[in-house]
Amino acid sequence: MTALSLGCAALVLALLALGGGALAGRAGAALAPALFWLAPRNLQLLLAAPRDLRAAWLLGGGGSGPGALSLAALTVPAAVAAVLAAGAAHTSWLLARALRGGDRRAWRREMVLSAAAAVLLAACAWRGPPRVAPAAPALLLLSILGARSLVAAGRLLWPERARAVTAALAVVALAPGLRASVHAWPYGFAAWNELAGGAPGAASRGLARQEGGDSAAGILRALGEHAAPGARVWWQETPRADVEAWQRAGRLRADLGWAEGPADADLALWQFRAGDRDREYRIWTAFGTARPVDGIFLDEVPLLMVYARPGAWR
Amino acid sequence: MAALGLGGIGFQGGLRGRLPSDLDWRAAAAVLERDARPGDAVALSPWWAERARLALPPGLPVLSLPRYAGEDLLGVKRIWLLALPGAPGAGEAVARDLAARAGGGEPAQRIGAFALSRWDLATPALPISFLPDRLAGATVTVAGEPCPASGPLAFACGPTRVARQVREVGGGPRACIAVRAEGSDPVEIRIPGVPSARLLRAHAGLVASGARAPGPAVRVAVRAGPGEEAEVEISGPGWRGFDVDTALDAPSTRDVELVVSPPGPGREICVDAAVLP
Repeated sequence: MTALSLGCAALVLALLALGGGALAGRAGAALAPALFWLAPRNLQLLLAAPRDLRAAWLLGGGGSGPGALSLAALTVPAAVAAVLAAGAAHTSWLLARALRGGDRRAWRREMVLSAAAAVLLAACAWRGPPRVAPAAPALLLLSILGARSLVAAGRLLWPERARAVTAALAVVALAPGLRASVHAWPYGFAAWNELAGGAPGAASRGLARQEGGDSAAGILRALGEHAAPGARVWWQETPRADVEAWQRAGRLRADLGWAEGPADADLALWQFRAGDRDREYRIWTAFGTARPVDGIFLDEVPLLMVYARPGAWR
Repeated sequence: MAALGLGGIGFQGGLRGRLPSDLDWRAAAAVLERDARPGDAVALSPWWAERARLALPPGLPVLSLPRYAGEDLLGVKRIWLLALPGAPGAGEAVARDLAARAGGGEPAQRIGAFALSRWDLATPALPISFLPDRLAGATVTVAGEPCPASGPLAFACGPTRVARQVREVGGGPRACIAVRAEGSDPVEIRIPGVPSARLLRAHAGLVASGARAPGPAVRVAVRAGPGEEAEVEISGPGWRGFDVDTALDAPSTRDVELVVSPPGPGREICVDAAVLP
């Protein structure tokens, strides 16, 4: 975990807790971070901290695609997305009520929140390279508003047992995200929500499976067990600094060498990336086979394949 | 929200049952090991179920194209469709494409989460010779100057590279002669001793990584003899097929010439040709 990513995660956590606490008390301070972080992709970012923030929310290479908001709607668990939408609707209702009632303080607060949400949502409804990152500020604010709406719903549904009702609602809203995060770990960046059909549905739609070569960490043990002594490995997307760090930490055998491409490699890792399978076919050409020797899958969707020259995989 | 929450938990809980287990994969592999013959291939639906490359018998080609309409499927007589009907995003498109060109087969049998069916192609394209595999015996020239061999199936001279490779063209892997060249002189590839038959079916397309890059249209000509030639112009993505009718030709073998105009910097063109009876 780099200091930068750790600092960013802590800052986001603090902002969410402060915002949730300011609008909805202690329950809000707890719920706002949970709404934001209990999703496979976000939890992966918080706990695993990839090499940089890029891997967390970049969902594909170049080209244009659906807007950041559309992509975010396919990565945030559906129940949480409903809470975020409820948060926006609740804020609009509070604004209307404050306008009618003449409560200037409430009016100003809700106006600022509504305007900020509108601006942030409009800013991420762009069409460009397919990535979620532009939607992150909107998701942060909506998590805070959603936490407030959950607390308000608890008070509305059963005023005498408001805390218990809020807690029950929170469990229902957060459980799918928590379960999906545990299931996808440590490949949370390849996870998609129920609306996308999970990783299989997303693969059928041609959505990206990962970014940045992080799934390579999952194959280290197999490499250690099966790679021939001194084998040179083409890591494709994974930076050399990461590979050397794994070797220094003892997670990867020190005798395995670095290859610049499939031509000088004994083993090659193909990390699935939409629209760039020519790199995988270069491995087929160089190794004379289209059959991998090992792989990493999330719900049957391939994330990484290992190819080997004859004798390089035992 | 409660419905979405419970639905989300239900979706995740049910997903495992909709996808094949290790046992399902082993069972499918065993059936194919027993029943597949030379000339068979496996098509996947949905196309991304590529654990098949790892799990199925090694000698059985695995096809993972999103659609099969218009694909020549050279050398394939029968296709086993290994489908995951319960997987999110699964559809019937691949089955429809195969059904449209099949003359028989076997209905689907369930193997765990799989549905395995067989489609016998009504008019399989069974090549007598596949020209990219004959590249070792070819001569390559640019502006009349020979290009020396730089490997068992490769030639190089200046910026020009000609090699037998598998490349991504038109949304799939294509075994072809890949040509990279700059300047204005066309690359000429002469392949001797090609068996004669009724038809020479060729394909050409820009390699996906540079298919959208700006550049002139690439001309690809296939010459099998006097009056027996065809030419196409390629620009943009796609894998384009074209035929040279050689039915009237008498000799048992011939020299086939592929002439390719330079694709330019950052682009490569992939060309194949197969002799069909």
